[in-house]
Amino acid sequence: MIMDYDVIVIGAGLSGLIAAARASAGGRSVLVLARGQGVLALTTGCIDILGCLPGPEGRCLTDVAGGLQRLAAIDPDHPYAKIGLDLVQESIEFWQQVMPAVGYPYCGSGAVNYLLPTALGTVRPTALAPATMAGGDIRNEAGTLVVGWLNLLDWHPKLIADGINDLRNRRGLGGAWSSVMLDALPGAAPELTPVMMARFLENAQHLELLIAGLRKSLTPGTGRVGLPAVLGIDEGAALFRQVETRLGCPVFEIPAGQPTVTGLRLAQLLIKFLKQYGVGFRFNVSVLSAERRNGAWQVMLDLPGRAAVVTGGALVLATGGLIGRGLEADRTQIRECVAGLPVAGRDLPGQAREASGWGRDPFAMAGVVVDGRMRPVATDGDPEQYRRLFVAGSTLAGYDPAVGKDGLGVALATGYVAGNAAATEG
Amino acid sequence: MDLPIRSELDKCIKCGLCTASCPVASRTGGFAGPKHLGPEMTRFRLDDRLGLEAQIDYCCNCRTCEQACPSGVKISLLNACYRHDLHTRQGLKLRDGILGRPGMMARLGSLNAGATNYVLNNRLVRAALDRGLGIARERPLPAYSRENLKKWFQRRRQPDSSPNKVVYFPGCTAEYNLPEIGRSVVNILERCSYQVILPPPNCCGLPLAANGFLEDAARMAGQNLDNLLPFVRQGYPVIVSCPSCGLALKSEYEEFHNLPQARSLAANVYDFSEWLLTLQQRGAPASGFRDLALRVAYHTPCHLKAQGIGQPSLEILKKIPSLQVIEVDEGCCGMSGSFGFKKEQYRLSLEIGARLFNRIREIAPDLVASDCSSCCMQISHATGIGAVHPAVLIDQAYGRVEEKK
Repeated sequence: MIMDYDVIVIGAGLSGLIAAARASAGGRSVLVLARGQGVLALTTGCIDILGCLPGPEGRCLTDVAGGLQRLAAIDPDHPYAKIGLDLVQESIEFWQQVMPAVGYPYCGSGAVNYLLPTALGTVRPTALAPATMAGGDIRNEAGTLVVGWLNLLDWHPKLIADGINDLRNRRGLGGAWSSVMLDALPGAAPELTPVMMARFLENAQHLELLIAGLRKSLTPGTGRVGLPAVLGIDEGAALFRQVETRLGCPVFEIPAGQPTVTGLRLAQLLIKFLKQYGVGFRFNVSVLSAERRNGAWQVMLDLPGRAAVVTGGALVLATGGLIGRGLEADRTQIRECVAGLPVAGRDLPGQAREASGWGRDPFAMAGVVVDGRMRPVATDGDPEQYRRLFVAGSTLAGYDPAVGKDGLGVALATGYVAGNAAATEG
Repeated sequence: MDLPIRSELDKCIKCGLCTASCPVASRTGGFAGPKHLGPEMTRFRLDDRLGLEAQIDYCCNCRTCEQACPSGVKISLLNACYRHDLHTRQGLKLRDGILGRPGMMARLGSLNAGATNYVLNNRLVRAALDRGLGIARERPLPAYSRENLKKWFQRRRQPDSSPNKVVYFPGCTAEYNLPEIGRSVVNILERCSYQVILPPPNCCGLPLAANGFLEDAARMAGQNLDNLLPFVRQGYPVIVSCPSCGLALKSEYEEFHNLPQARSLAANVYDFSEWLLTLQQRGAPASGFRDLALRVAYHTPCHLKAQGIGQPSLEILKKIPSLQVIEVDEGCCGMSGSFGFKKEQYRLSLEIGARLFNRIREIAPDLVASDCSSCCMQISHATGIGAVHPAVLIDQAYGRVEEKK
């Protein structure tokens, strides 16, 4: 049978894009199908590999490598434990190879966490940070100035400086954080979301105004400047570099508002990069079902006007969980929407609600159970029906990213393994 | 408010991805974006204290926001209903009525194409159209052809009858302005052993809907259903070469106008390249392409993206030997049909496409290819580089030389 593609990936979130990148790097023809443009732009783009161990040991982690060892020992159902830590490491190396070529480089080895400030003045532990954000680690003891503009919505530099100062004091760290609120940028709308401001600054004259204003607010004690993540979208880190060079002072971005500029950059640049390398994309497509027939996966699409079929040798499901709607719940059951895979926690909606172990949400823990190669574990019926099907990202069972702070890290690792398996396994 | 529209509102989770993707909002602070004007304003439309009402004219109906939306909200539908209500209350503009009826204008203009083109190129006439109607004087108007597609189709020697029949819906541009697109499509379909049927020329109605004339658009849609459904019932597919016509036939007739039987038409409508690529994948004459030594930049129109069919013409162009195709992946060109003709939107429409034009200038191709003739018009106007429908290139690769007049 003639197949349209070697590998079909459903979902354009991080796990789907990484699966596509890996399968494509393995020499396969790849098609990515997505309902919207993917919700990667709703994340900060930080790859949190492991921020917290579950259970009584749970607290903010800096030693990621050690944390992963411990996690694998105490929680064998976690996706990392199933994959094995060598492959988790391999996925991190893959990421660090790909991102400079994408034009949006990341910092970090993956072995330790940065402690980066958030827009609420709290701390995010993250292992791989966009180069524009990595300079913001709160343990750096340089005098830090956080800047805001009156017309930028939901951005409060004083809240951030106060919050971080509080944390610094508790940890006994030097280098005070201060804040300044500048007047609205001339020529900009009276109320700006971060995305609007980023678009505004893509104009060279507007960026000049911003740089001039920043210069005036620097004091001799300013060792680095914290800005909301508004330094352009389409150009990746280019505007950031320009501002830093012209200011002659280290600068870092803090993600602000939704959708985040840092997440948008990652999503747009990664998709553009994959397109250039021959990965096919179809957006605005809903998948009705996927079935294995005559040795191939037949994916039924709901296009404007009609249904259509594409066929592929292997299928990667990266459709998301209950929020991304790869899983759907009614009053009695949770279902996997595309291939009808068995779901661990299927009957949760009809049961009395109890917290599952270690404070993790049972609905977050629900999902498809897989083996170490991301193949669904068949609980009933013919195992042949799931041949060459691989599942990645938040469709999977066994982790709660709100507790483990491991959302995009699991997406990266499981997407990598699924893409690898889809490209190589017969 | 109708129930289906209400449920559209409740799907929206306010994530803002649609506004982040909007080509218009990315270039002007004067437009709060699809989320505000669509799902949010629709809630507040009975009591507009925010002064957002008039901004609805910034929505160019490109549908980028719908592709970005992770929740499947029909933002364009909300905006079209809103624009219709607002303009019905405030009185519809003559200018928008003219821009919404390219077919009717073309039938008048083609009566004496030479004279019409001459008059429409006159500076004084353009100044009058600018001041009097609000059609930007800087914007070149598309010329009318001396021989429209239907006349050519009837004049030439008819090919032998074939049991394989397709209906070709050329839309206004390929009928009246650039019939070479239509001729190429007909030639290629016949080369693939299809007998081509041309229904009576008629506008798809999308420009009317985009300008707030929903009832007129629905009437147009009804006429097209009457014209096309008898063929569909005989099992003939309907081919379109214009992505906006395609979007109207595939989705607007059902979504906007809620017409019975719209679905059975939609299920049989194919974009020209979508159809040709399927034929080639099934082994039809994919081969037989001659060398075409050209460097071509390809731009994907928004309304093609909205159909969820990928980039079939790009895939076909890549198969033509000696043809170097470079995809320009820089989003909307800003023209969006009638949007770029409007005096108040002309500058903005060029700003929206600025990245695209810069990238094309960098590539410096011999030609730009794009399925949408409105995109082609805008790109040629902004870059000075010629832009053609892919069918014209594919036809050349199949070895046809445009007949001399």
